[in-house]
Amino acid sequence: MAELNIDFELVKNFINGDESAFNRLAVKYQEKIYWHARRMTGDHYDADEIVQEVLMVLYNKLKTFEFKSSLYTWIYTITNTRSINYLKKKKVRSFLSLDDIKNEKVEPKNIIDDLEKAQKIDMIEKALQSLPLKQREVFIMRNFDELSYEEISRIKGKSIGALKANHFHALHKIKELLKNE
Amino acid sequence: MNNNEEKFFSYLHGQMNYEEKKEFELELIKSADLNNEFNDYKKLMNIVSETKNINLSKDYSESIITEFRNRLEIKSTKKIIPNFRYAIASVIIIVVGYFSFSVLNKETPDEINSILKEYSYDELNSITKNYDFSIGLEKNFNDNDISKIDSIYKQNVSVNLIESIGSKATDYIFVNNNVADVNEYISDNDVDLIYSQLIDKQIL
Repeated sequence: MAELNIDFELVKNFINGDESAFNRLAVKYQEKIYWHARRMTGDHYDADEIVQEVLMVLYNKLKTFEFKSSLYTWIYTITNTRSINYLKKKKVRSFLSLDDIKNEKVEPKNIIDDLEKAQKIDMIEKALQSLPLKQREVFIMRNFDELSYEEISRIKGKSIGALKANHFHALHKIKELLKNE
Repeated sequence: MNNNEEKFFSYLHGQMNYEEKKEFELELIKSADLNNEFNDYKKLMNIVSETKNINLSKDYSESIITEFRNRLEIKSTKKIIPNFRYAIASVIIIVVGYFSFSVLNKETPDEINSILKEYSYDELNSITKNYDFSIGLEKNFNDNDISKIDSIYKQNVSVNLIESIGSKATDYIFVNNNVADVNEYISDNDVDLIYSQLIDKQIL
C-alpha cells in the first residue's frame, strides 16, 4: 500500500510539472524494465534500447494512467509488449539484412559488477534464447518475475491451460539444455 | 503431460500448508522419478534465483536517465524543425521551378527577364492560365523520359495524394494539367500536405 502511495504521489507530481518526479520513477523501475527486456532479448544493447523506449512511453502516457492496476503491472505490460515488438522488428531487419550482422557489439564490461554472476547470466540467457518466444515469455514471467498463471493470463489475454502447456515445454527444454552445461 | 511444476513451485515458494507439505515430502520419498524431477527443478530454480536480483552497476544505472533526457531533448528539437519544413519546401520548389523553366525553354535568365518586360501583367496572366504544361514536356523530353516521369509519379505520389486530397482533385491537377487553377480546388493545408509528401518521398 505504501508503494502504491509513493507511486501515486510521484505520478501526481510529474503530471503537475515536476520533472524530477519522473526521474525518481525511472530510477525506481529502470532495473526491472532492463532485466525483463534483457531476458527476452538476450542482449544488453537491445535491452538498453527497450528501456529507453519504455521510459519514453511512460513519459508520454503517464498522464492517462488511472491506477486501476499497480504502476508496476502497467510498466511490466508495456515492457513486455515493447520487447516482443522489438524482437519482431529485429527479425524482419535481419531477414532483410538491414542490420550489420558482422559488427556484433560486445557487451561493455561495466554493466554487471559481479563476474561470477555475469557468467551464470550468460548461461541462462543462452538457454532462454533457444526457446520459442511464447515459451520464453511465460518462463520468464513465471520464474523470474514470480507471476501466477492468473496474472500472466490477465497480462497476455491467454487461457491458463495454454500458458501451462507453454511453460511445461519451456521447463523441459531448459532443464535438458542446462544438464549439458 | 505430467506437470508437477505447480507442486514444486508451491513447495519451494512456501505456498503449501502443513498437510500439503507433508504429503508432498512423502511422495518424494516414495517415488524416485518424482525425486529426480524435483532435484532437476531445484537446480534450475537455484540458477534462476542467483541471476534474478542482480544490481546493475552504478555507472550504467545513472547513464540510463541521462540518455533518456538527451533523447527527450532531441525529440523536442525535432518537433520545432517541421514548422520550417514548408518554408524550406517552398524555397526548394521556387529554385527547382526556376531551373526547370530555364531548361525547358532553353533560355537564359536575362533573356527571360527581357521577354517578361515586353508583356503587361494581364497578358502574362492570360498566358500562364492557358499554358498547357504537357506541351512543354513533350517538346523537351522524349517518350522514354515522359514514361519515366509518369512511373515515378504513379509509384511515389499519386496514391498518397489520392488518399490525402481525393481523386477528383488529383485528376484535375495531373490529368488536366491546368495547374494555374489548383488553388481553387485545394486548401492551403492540402498544399502543405503535398509539399511534405513530395519531400517525404524524396521527390524534392
